[in-house]
Amino acid sequence: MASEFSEDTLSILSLLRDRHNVLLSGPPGTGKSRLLNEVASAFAPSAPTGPVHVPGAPVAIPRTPPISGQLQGVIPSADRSNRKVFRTVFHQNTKYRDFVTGLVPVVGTNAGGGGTTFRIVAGTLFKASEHAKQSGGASLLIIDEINRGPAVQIFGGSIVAIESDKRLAQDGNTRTYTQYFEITSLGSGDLVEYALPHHLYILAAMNQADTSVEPLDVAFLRRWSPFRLAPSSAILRKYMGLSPQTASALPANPSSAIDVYEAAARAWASVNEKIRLGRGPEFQIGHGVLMVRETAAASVDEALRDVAESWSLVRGHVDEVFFGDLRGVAAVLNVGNFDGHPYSLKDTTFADEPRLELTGPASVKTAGIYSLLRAVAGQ
Amino acid sequence: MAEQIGAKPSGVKRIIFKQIVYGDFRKFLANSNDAKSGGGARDLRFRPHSTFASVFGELFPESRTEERRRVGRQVLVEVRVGKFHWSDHGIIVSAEATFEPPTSAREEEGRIPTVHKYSPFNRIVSTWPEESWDVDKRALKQEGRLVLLLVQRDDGSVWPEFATESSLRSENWSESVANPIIKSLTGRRNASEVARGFIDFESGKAYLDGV
Repeated sequence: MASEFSEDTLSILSLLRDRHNVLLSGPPGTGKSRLLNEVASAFAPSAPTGPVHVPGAPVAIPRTPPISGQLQGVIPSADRSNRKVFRTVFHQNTKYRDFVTGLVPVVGTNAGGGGTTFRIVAGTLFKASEHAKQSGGASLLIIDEINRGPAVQIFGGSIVAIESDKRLAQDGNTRTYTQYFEITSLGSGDLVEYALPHHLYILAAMNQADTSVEPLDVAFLRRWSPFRLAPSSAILRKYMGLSPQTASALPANPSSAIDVYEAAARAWASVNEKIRLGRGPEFQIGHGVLMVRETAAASVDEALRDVAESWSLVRGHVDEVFFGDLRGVAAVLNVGNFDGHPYSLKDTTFADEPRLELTGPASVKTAGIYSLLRAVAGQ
Repeated sequence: MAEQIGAKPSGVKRIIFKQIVYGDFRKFLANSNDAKSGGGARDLRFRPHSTFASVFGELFPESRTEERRRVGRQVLVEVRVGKFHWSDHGIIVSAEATFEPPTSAREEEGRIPTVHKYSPFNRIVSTWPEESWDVDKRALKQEGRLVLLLVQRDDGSVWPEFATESSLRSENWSESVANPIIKSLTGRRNASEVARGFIDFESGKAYLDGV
């Protein structure tokens, strides 16, 4: 049975119910994938493996288990029981035919294994739409990495039709503002008019700050209700078992896992603050990067090992975000502002040209991670 | 005793069911003291005991020894002990329930004694008054036969529930529960017998009388 859902999940379900299309964005490590999965499981709970008893109900063991109390009032198409989640991930080679309908080549069709013909395929949007048009049907289409492919080309003519008020009516009939677009019919191959059903909901996710993403135009973006996730110090500190906020100085050497985590949390916050100022909030790194296991480690050694592993990801992110800007990398790492910092920024020359060089350990192991975190945090 | 156990929907481990006839209502109201309903019987009987004993052992996991009179002598018998749960105006209530071995007079019938102590049994009487029943008082005029279900949930709690034959056939009930019960209801048996059985979703075992 579905049990506890987060506030974010309930908010997204409510937005989907009212606006049909929701665009989830946030820096890496802020929990987008977790949230997509949680919304999916709330929208279409897994069929129970056996019968379910409902105390006090007129039918004590109903064929269709009831919607969890938390979801009542927010779940889209609550009265529809044939619920299904469709998923796709956009990438540079995703095409309109993969999403709506279109022709794909079929090779080796004659007896000798040669020859080529074509067939018409149904894309993910079309499949989700057709399911939602069934009696009692409701579909949630999840598109991850929506800006990793050419989204506007992939949506093609459906771009207007996805809008909430351009859909078919709840009963499937055409409304005054229903927007039709042309698709290749799966049966005849002819171009036919097509509209999207009311009971189709689209949840897309994107990370605005990756280097290989495509920009999304304003006309595309305004068809979505935005839902933004941000790095959360509160979530991280709760996971690490730290008090909400403390100003006490970090000890020179950690005596507990809590000391290690406190240093990591402060270093992470300092890095994000400087990325926010230097490159923008969308380039920050989420709290998830430091949440490597189900529960935080209990011993100093385990905590140091976890934090050292996570730090390599943080450092990689900083290098990527400030690629070609060594002074920016040094500023984020707090180099030059802390006595005994493991890194230093040196002026040097190459072919008589002035150059900068960031010197220090290429990678940080368990033994050196705590002092590095203190230096980055400036404490 | 009011509790909050199992207020939410929960998976089902097993079900014991038994067709209820109008004569059983006299037991549910504790005014059954005539020979037709078994003398002073206020207990609900399940037979064959050899078939039902193990599944009642799952429903009522504890046991205790009690004195009973058998053929004029005091003897010790092992009684299975558990609880019935039900919802009373949204509050979950529970009370001790027991399953006793057969008496010497009815050697193949295990029994739940004093069913009149539990509200669900009292309430069902007012739901289906005498005029709702057909002439021979074995089925409801409109809704067909009435069935008691003892439902054991994943948390182990046991809930008495009732279902009419028409409700079970209406497709509202879980097929894995409704279909076997309907099979038993329509099975072959003596006119004086009623449908009964159990479905154990954990072990996969079932007993459907008449099938």
